[in-house]
Amino acid sequence: MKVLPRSRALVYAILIVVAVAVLLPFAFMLSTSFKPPREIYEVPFRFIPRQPTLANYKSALLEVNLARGTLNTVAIAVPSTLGGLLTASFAGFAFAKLRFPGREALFAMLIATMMVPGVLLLIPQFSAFAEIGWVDTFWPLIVPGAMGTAMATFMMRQFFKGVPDEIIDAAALDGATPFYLFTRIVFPLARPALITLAVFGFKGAWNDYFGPLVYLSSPDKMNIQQMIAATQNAYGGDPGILMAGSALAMVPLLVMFLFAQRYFIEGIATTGLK
Amino acid sequence: MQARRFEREAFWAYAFIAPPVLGAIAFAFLPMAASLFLSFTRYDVLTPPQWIGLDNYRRLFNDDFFVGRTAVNTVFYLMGVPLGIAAALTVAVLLNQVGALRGLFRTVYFIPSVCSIVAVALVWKWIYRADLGLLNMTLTSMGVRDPPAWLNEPELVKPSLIFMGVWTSIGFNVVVYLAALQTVPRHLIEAAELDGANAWQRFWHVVFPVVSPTTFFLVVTGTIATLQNFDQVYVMTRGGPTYASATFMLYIYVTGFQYFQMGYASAMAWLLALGVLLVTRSHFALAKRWVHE
Amino acid sequence: MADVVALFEQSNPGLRVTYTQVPGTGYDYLNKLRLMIVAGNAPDVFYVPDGAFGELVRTGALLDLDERIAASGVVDLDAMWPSAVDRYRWDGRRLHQGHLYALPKDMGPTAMFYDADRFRERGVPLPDPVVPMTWSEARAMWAALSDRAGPVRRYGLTGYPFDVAVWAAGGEVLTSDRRSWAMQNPVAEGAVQWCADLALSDGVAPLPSRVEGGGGRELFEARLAATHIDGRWMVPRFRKLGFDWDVAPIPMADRDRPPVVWSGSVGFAVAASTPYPDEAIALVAWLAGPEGQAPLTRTGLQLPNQRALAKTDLFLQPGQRPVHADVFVRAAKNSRPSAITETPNSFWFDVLSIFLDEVWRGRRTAASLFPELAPRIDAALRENNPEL
Repeated sequence: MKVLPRSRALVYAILIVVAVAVLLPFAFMLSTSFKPPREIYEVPFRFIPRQPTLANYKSALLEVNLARGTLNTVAIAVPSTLGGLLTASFAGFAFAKLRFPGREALFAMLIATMMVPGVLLLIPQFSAFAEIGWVDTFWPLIVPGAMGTAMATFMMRQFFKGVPDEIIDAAALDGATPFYLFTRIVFPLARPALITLAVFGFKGAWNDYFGPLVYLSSPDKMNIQQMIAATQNAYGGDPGILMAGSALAMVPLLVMFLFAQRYFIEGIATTGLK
Repeated sequence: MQARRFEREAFWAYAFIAPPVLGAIAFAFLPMAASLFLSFTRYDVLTPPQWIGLDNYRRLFNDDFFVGRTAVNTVFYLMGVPLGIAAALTVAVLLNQVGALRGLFRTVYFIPSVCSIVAVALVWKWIYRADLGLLNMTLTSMGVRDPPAWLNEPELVKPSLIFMGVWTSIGFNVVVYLAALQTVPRHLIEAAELDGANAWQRFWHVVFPVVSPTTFFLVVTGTIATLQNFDQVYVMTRGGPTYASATFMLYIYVTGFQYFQMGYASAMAWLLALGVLLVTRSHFALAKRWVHE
Repeated sequence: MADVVALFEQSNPGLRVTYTQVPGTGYDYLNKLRLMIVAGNAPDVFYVPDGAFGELVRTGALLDLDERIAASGVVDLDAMWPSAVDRYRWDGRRLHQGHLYALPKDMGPTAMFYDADRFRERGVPLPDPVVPMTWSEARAMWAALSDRAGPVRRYGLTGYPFDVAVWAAGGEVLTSDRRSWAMQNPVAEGAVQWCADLALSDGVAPLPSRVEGGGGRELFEARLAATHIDGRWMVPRFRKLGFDWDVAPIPMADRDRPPVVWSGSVGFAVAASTPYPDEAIALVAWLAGPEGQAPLTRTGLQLPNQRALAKTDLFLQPGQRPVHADVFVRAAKNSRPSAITETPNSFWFDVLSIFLDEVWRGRRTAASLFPELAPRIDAALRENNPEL
């Protein structure tokens, strides 16, 4: 399709304006995080600090223990994501390609759980986890995800629907079990979808604030999000330190995103979110 | 096709689906049943629940003005759904026309989707601040006197939060749309061009119908997320000022966890769940009119 | 706090204390605490803000300290501020009387912080450290400190707490039986309207929409407001500010009535479920006694609960701001706890705050709003506090 040069310039102009609008808050965050306290309240706002300082980052690092937070996050994210990948893809495959009584009803039941408001479940769940002594452990944050969430199952089912029926039929004719078919033939095909799920799972675990807030209380079990919240203590947060803390918490995910963005994007496309 | 059958296919299938189904029972259906029971009780969590019949539901529909106020707010927030989708579709269509820098723009737009709500909220609170916020400092330096307090005026807080929501979600929606736009058959567009259709006509008659399943997906998920919106309001305003930004979900949380009226909060949560179900059903019913499969 | 706990361990070799800090703001702490209590894994000893004391004690989550404290013989309640101690009492029906369920960690009286440099720039005399100004004197002072013409608006003060205004004018927030709201009368209506008019007609205070979460504190820190009413706990933070500031008594309606200000406090409570009640009480008694109060006071955050300590240099901290730290000592004598500490459930106060906002914004006058508001607040009060 041919586009006239003038309208092409307009297209770029609009895209650049949107990009600036998207990046501006981050620029503001970074700028504030490098400012000494007296410059923060200065009017008018300057994006380049006159006397840039690392003091805010030093203070934030006292509150935000990046190493410990990352370790805790990984300890939650890895088992819950890997477990979820496995369970959700088994189930997604069954819902997409196997035939069994109650398939549609069970699938609908699973999907229905996505519509349940989270608060509805919080108190009974919390009481139950407390009953079995799981409060202040990682288990309440790992097990529900590792059992395969409805969303993950749904995504995997969408993916496996795109696998040609011929492959399945051929395996059935050969007398293979569904387990063999799945583990040897179908599962390896799902790599892009799995990576997407993994990336989203890790992102979810890294950014989770309310789960750890409810279930964890020991300081040595906190994740990054709770640590940034800690910089905003009861006596009001220092904006420079808050912004430095936010910036620190974003960095690992941004790095992961820049390296894995192909999977974010391909994944969204191949899983055919439609 | 029909002939294909694995041996003991159902057995394998049940084994495959067991973990998520059992998970759904343990982590969703049993708690739901518990909360349904609680909605007919007075329950402060520390002492055993007391059966009070329909009292909670009566209170919900009769004499609680916060229910009305927060429900209206929640409906207001729904305006953000079409707004966010329209913005994303516009950007995606424009982005689809450029070659060289497409990947770069897409990466930039996606960045907010990667960030946590806690970090994003901290930054936006400082942007929206009345006196020292970035937005108002900019407006002041442009000569605007007394720019408004974005998060502290009952009339402005919801639009401000909606704008922030669009900012947060645009990247994800653009990526989804870009994927969908790849499926628009080139020959259809070329045929339309030959027929003398202008850009808008080509978009409206060719592109929009092809991406309509994607639009539908975004409308449904966006609506459900908005009806259950809690995180954003909780970290940004805690519902203030004067409950003007409080969502129904936030009111449920406050009732249950701040005032320990878990029975009443459960009744409210059930009302919300029913509302979500109804809205989603009507989306699917309406979809037949405009979604092209 | 962790250091103070370490000191306790040194002087009590047999005992080990694990100190846990909950991240986030006050809300998060209370939510977390409630969930831990529900889960049956409450800490043995925890902070209870005075405003949340009623709600927690009503559910039976706190241990009755009366007998054990009497038995231990180490706690001298008479050495503490009576208003600090009494706010942690509960008789099964009413608060502020009956058995003791927590010991005060501190006393948090409020005062008027002022930007002394700004006063000098404007040629405004500094307020007296002993005698409170009257409202009319203060209003003139705030007007002289405000600047409404420049590109950046500057205010005389950040806002006057409405409950203090009601008390100062001779009114009450709740009736003495605490079964009804007591502000539907000309005295309280006038006091609330006076607070609102500081912003609405005088322009010496910011409109509520201009005040962010910090309650105007940021405006004071940014030197956009010359005075700011707040508690002692702000002192360590303000010591980092780059200008000269001090404290003065909060202005009162007139000189006919004795001065009255608000004070906050946090208590140390012991969980009813603790397996170690004696050890927990030993810790609480130590922290609330002279040994624990000394290091806690040194932080500058608090006025000690021990009256005698408040008169020493440990609290007054000469050489550091504020110069007139004794203002807090006098304020502590004149202070009373907030009305939210008077009822176990304080939802009625939320309802009140939400509707008062219409007065702060000038959309309603107090006199026209209050008659309509009274039944609503009374309903919230009674429905959630059936024991009253």
